[in-house]
Amino acid sequence: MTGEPTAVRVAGLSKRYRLGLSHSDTLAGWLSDVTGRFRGGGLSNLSGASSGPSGSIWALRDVDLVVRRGEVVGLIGANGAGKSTLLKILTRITPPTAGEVDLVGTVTGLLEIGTGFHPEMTGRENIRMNAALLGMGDTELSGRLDEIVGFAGVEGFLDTPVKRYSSGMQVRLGFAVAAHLNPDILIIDEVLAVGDAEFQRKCLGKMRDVATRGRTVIFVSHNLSLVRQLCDRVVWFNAGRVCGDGPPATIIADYLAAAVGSDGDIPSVRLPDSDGGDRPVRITSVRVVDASGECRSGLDLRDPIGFEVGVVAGVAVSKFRVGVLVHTDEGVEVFGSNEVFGVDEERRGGQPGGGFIETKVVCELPGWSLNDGTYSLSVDVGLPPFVESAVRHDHLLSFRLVDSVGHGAAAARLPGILRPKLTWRSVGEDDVS
Amino acid sequence: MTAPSDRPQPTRIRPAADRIWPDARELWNQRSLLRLLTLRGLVSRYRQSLLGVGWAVLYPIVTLLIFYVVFGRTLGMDEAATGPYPVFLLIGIVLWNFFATSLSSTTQSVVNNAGLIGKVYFPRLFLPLSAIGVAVVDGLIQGMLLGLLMLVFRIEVSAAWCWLPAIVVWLVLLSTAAGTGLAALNVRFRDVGHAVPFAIQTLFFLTPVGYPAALVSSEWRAFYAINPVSTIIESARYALGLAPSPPTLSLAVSGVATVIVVLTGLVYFERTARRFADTI
Repeated sequence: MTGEPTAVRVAGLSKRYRLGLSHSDTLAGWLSDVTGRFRGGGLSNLSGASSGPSGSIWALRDVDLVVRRGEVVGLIGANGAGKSTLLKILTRITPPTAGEVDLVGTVTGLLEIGTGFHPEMTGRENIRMNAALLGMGDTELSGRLDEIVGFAGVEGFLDTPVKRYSSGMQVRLGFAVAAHLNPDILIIDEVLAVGDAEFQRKCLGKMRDVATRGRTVIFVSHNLSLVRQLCDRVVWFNAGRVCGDGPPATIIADYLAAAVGSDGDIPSVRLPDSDGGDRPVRITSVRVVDASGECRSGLDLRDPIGFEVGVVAGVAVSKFRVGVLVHTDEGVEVFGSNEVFGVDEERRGGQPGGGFIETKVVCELPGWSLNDGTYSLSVDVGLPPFVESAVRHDHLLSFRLVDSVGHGAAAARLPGILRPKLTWRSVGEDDVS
Repeated sequence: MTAPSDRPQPTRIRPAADRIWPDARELWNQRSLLRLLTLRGLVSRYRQSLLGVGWAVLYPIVTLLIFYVVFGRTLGMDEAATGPYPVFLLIGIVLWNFFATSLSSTTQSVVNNAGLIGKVYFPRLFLPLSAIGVAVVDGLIQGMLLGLLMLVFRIEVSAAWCWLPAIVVWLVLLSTAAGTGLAALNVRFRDVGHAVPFAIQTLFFLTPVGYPAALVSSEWRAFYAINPVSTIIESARYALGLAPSPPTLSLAVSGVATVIVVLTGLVYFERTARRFADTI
């Protein structure tokens, strides 16, 4: 695609955010800032090097990027890596702190489905509102209204207030407008996560249409199989900088490999002694590990994984029970499990006085159990008679399972929480004549 | 070699370089969005309410009755100075009400749409402008009520009526600019949202809604005119033949005050608007 003209040029782009409530959010602090500026201390911190002034963070740092017309570029990276900030600058929602961007052609940013919808307005009014916010002109819209309504499947409800729609209908209506946008450059944040499976498929088809018609698409997604399937090129962000840029397969592999060892989202927690240090039993560490006992983010859902829990018990404790509970990132309970462990009599005897014994236990989850996604792990430990927890940590850590192969020709995420490996076979043929 | 038409002028995004004045062409190109945002405001106000737009009429009628009893009967307004007192009163009520409601709704207009600000770019000025649009619709309905009352009291058409459009534009411009500036300030300090209703209430007593401005002693008139709403109401009464012309000094003071409000309000809004998504 190097022959194509540039569609997006990003040069030396940086964005600094203030953290939390800053000094100048109170009137008094603001006044002292203003007077400080008059005393000459004002803009000096703008030139600060790699570390921002205290209480601020560089969400993007010296990013250079050229996207050519017709490219479909996926942005990947951990949360807070700067992907969404880049999208917000490209869509002019927020200005950069330094650097510049050139955009050739019309741009539409899709950071949300159904922006501007109002429950009291009718379907028709909301379509017009949403379309106008996304930059679709009146004449353009009237030419496509029927198509949009058909795509959303809301014929006959067009003059009904949207609050009477089912939530599925509302989402479809928002998607329908989005799918019929016609900009030169389309910028999409993770918006495909909503909607039912059939509708997602419809939207993916539409997105591929858009790409093949020579439109430039930039999109952010945590769904790596979707990125692999849709993009010609992937840009990987880490801590506000571009960390990899190239063909999807290479960059995604690098990204997953690098996730090992970076402490950003490694599913491992050590609990300090102060957390229930005076109790007869407590949890010291929790890790989610792969088959080789290594702890890393982005575990492959095809392989078995283990929940490893470190327990410290006083010598008086002869038996304890460890439990784990897994939720989806939407808070749905998936399963729980627990087991009672006895402490070796000999070890207990070998500890003079009031010593403690540390035990590590592992609960193994077979491969092909949970689907691609992020889950949270809660753990507890109990003592006889095992009626309630002695110590309990809810949503102590989260871990991610990755479907590195995808499913079928589309390599899409299958719906659902579980991802069992199932067998299909033909059970006979009949001639129908 | 690419044809020039293949190389359109790129849109350039840069830091700061804040605009200090609204981009009129952008506003004009996207005017249909302003219409829709105004519709959205009206819908959320009146749909699924029994009285609907009737509320816009009910409020001035009730206020009129209360004031008529308090000022007209209890305090005994002299109709020689005011003309038919109900008409005199309703002019004040309608104009003041437009100022008060538009100021409080514009102040909240940006903060109330934080969701839009963070998700999509559009001229931010449309948020306060659409709030003004909603207030204008209410104001037109109340203006019709005023017209009706003028018919009942047989107010005669005169050449001075020619001033009315200018007076209305003055009021709308003042309310828009003040509300726009306060809307931007409210993004930064939410205190503003609390202070504005209080300020409006205070200002009410410094505005000749129920009494003639001529009651204010002449040495205080210049200070009194710092609040341009007072001169606006007085001018409207003059145009309808219910009060003498406001003194030149009052007009000058109110005019200067309006220019200052318009400049500071719009400039402050435009200077901060690009960063609303970060500060809101």
